Amino acid sequence: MFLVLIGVSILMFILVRIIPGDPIATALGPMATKESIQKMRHEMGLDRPIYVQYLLYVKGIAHGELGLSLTERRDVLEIIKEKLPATIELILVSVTVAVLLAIPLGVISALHRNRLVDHLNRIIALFGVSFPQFWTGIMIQLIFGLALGFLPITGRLKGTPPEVITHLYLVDSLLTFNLHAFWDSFIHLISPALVLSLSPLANITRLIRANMIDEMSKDYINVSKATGMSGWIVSYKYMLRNAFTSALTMIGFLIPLMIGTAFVVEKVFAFPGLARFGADAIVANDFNGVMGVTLVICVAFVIVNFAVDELYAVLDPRIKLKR
Amino acid sequence: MKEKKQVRKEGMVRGIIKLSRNRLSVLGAIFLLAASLLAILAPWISPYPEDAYESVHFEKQLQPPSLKHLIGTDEAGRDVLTRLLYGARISLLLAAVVLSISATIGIPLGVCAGYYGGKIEQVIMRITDVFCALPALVLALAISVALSPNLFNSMLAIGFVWWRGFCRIAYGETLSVKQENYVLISKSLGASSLHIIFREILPNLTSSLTVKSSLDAGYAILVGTSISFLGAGANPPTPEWGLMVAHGRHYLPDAWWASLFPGLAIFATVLSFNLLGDGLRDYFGVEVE
Repeated sequence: MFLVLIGVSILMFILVRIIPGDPIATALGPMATKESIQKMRHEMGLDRPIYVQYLLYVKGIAHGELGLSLTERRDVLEIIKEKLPATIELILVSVTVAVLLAIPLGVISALHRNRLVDHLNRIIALFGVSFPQFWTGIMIQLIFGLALGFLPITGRLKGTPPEVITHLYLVDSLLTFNLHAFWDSFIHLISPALVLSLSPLANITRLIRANMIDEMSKDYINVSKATGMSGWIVSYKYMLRNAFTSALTMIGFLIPLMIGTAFVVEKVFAFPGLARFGADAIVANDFNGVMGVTLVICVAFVIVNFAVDELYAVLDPRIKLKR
Repeated sequence: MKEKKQVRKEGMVRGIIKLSRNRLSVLGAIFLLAASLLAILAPWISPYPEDAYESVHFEKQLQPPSLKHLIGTDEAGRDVLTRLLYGARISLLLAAVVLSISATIGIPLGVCAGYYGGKIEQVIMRITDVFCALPALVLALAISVALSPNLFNSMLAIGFVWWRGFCRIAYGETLSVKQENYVLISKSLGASSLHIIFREILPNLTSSLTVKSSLDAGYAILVGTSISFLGAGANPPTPEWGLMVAHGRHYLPDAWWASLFPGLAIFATVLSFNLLGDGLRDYFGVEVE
C-alpha cells in the first residue's frame, strides 16, 4: 500500500511537471516581467532538476508543507483542511443513500426474480450507470431547482454555518441543536448526493440481487425454512447478511469511483469541496494543488480498503478464523 | 475437417439465436448500428453540414425546435441536430480509440504477468496498482492536460488510464487458465511459450474481454464527455456532446434544447453499450468487474 502511494506521487509529479507552457507565467498574468517570473520559478524550486524537485517535495510533506496553490494563492494544506470535509460529507451521504436503497431493491429483485419488479429494477439500474452525471445534475437543477423551486441550485449552505466541531455541517448542526443549519445543509446536499449515488446504487443493487440468488440455493436456507422460520427473517437476517458481506468489497471499489464523479458533480453544483478545487487545479495547471488533491485521494483509497477489510471480518467471522 | 466446420457453424447459429433472445441487448445492438451508420453518413444526411464546426448565424441564435431546425439551434445559431450527428462520430471514435489503446497495452502486460510470474509479475502488477489507485476521470484529466488539452489527447489520455482494467482481467484469467490440464499437456509435449500464450491462453480470454469491451465502451464515453465538459478535452467549436452540454448550460432554462438533446444522445449511446454488454455477459456466463 505504501508503495502505491509513492508510485502515485511519482507518476503525478512527472505528469504535472511535463505540462507544456509555463504555469508560473500563466499564473502571474500577461503583465508579469521576465525577472518576476524567474524569481518565482526560483522561489518555487522549478529551476532545479526534476528528481531534486521531487525529493524536496517529499521532504516538504514530512514537514506538513504541500506548497503554494497557484489558483488560490495560498497553502495547499490549508485548502485541503478547509474543503475536504465538504467532499467527505457529500460522499458519505451518497454512499449511505446508495446502500440503504440498494439493499431493499436488490432483495426484492432476487425474491421476485424475472417478475415485473425485477425487470423494473434492472432497467433503473441500467439507467443509473448510463446517465452522464454532469447532465443529470443540470437536469435536476433545472427541474427541482428552477422549475419547481424545491431545492437550492448550488452551494453547500445558504445561512451561517454551524459551530465547528467536525467540519461536517450535518453532524455539527445536530450536535449543537442548530436545526435551521441542519435543514439548510441537508437540502443543499440532496441534489448532488442523488446524482452521485445513482451509479453506485445501480452497481450495489445488481450485486446484492446476484448474491441473494446464489444464497437462495444453499442448504441452510432450506433448513431454516423447514424449521418453520418466517420468510422475512430468512431473507433479511440470514441471506442478506451473507449477500451483503460480499457486496462490501464492491463498496470499496465504488468509493474511489465516486471521488472521481465528485469532480464533475461538485463542479456542476458549485459545491465548495475538494473535488471541485481538484478539477479547477488540474485544468489550470496548478501543480501543487493537483499533487495535494491526488495524495488525499490516494490516502482515502488506502483507508477505504483497510476499512472494508476490517468490516468484512466483523460481518463474516470465518475470515477472522482464517487469519 | 468438414465436420469441424459444420459444428462451428452450428454453434455460431445457436449462439446468435441465444443472444437474440435477450431483446434488450438486440435493441442496444440495433441502436449502436444505427448510430454508427448516422455517424458515418453525417456529412450527407445532416440538414446543415456547414454548421458542424465554426459557422455562426447570429440571426437565428437559440431558436426553439421547429420544422426547419428539428431540435433547435445553439448559441451561435448552429443546427443542434447536425452537431449531434457529427458528435456521434467523435464519441464512437473515442470508444474505439480508448479500447484499442487499452487492449494493446493491457492484454500483453496482463498475460505476461500471469504467465511468467515472478519478478515480471511483481513489476507489472505493482505498476497497475499505481494506475488503479486514482479514479479514471482524475488520472485521465491530468494526463490530458499534461499532453495539452484537445480532443485527440483526451482520447489518448483515457486509453493510457484504461489499460489497467484489461491488464487485471487478462492477468486473472491467465492465472486460472494456466492451471488447466491442456496447458500442462501442451507444455509437456514441448510447446513453446509463444504457442501456449497465443493458442491456449488468448483464445480463452476472448469472452471476458469482449464483455468488458462492450461495458467499458459506454463508460469510456461517459469519462470522455466529462473531460470535455470540464474543459480539458475537445475545444470549441468541436461538436463534442459533453462540450455542447457545457455551452448549452449557460442558456438554461430558456434554451433547454441546446443541453437536453446532447445529454440524451450520450445517455442513449452509453445505455446501448451497457445493454449489449449485459446480454453478452449472460451469453458467455462471465463476471467482469
